[in-house]
Amino acid sequence: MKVKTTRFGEIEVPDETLITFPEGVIGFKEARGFVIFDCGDQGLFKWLQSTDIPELAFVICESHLIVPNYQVIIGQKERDLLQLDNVEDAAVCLILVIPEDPQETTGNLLGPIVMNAKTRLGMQMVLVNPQYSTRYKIFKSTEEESNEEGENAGTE
Amino acid sequence: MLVLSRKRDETIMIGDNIEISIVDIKGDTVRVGINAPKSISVHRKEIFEAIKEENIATTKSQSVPKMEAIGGLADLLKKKKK
Repeated sequence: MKVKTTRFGEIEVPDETLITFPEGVIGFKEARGFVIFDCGDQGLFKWLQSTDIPELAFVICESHLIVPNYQVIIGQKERDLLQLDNVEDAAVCLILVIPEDPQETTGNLLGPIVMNAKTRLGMQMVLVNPQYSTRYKIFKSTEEESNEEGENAGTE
Repeated sequence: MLVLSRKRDETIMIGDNIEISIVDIKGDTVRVGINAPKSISVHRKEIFEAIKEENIATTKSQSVPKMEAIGGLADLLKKKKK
């Protein structure tokens, strides 16, 4: 399929690489289709490009590479939405902002992208962990990351 | 907007499967208990709004990073892991 993008022009991607976000991403409900391709040649970073909105694209990276003890609780709602039978099929990624100085890179720890590799369904979760922020400086934070887990319907 | 007054331990029903209880009231903080089907997401609005704003800001500001920045970031991550 052909995908119009503002950053890369019109790109051709194999149909089977399409990932469906049934609820879009937060703030962009209508962005249901995404494709993933490499950002750089390290294999660590990927572009998550919307097929519906040309300018909508995020750099993502698997969360464990950024915050080793980062955890999300994938609840029943998420399992249903992603048609996730086996948690091992879930890829948890963080949206990064990579400025010119890579030391200043931030990651959005409150709104991770979770995708099911088997069904190619994805979603953006909302975590409640007060230790996390949307602009976590991955190299400058002196705060200890806790093992506390975010969950959708917890008490505090 | 419908506005109801509730005392501690009183509950509001929304439809037949969402229950909102006033658990505690201390000063200007109200602790609210929510019983809802698992298929319904419950979020603090400010977190939802923060993520929404961050998504919009990120996609506007993120240009294609230079190769050096990506390479530098990969190196920094490797160092961090050690």
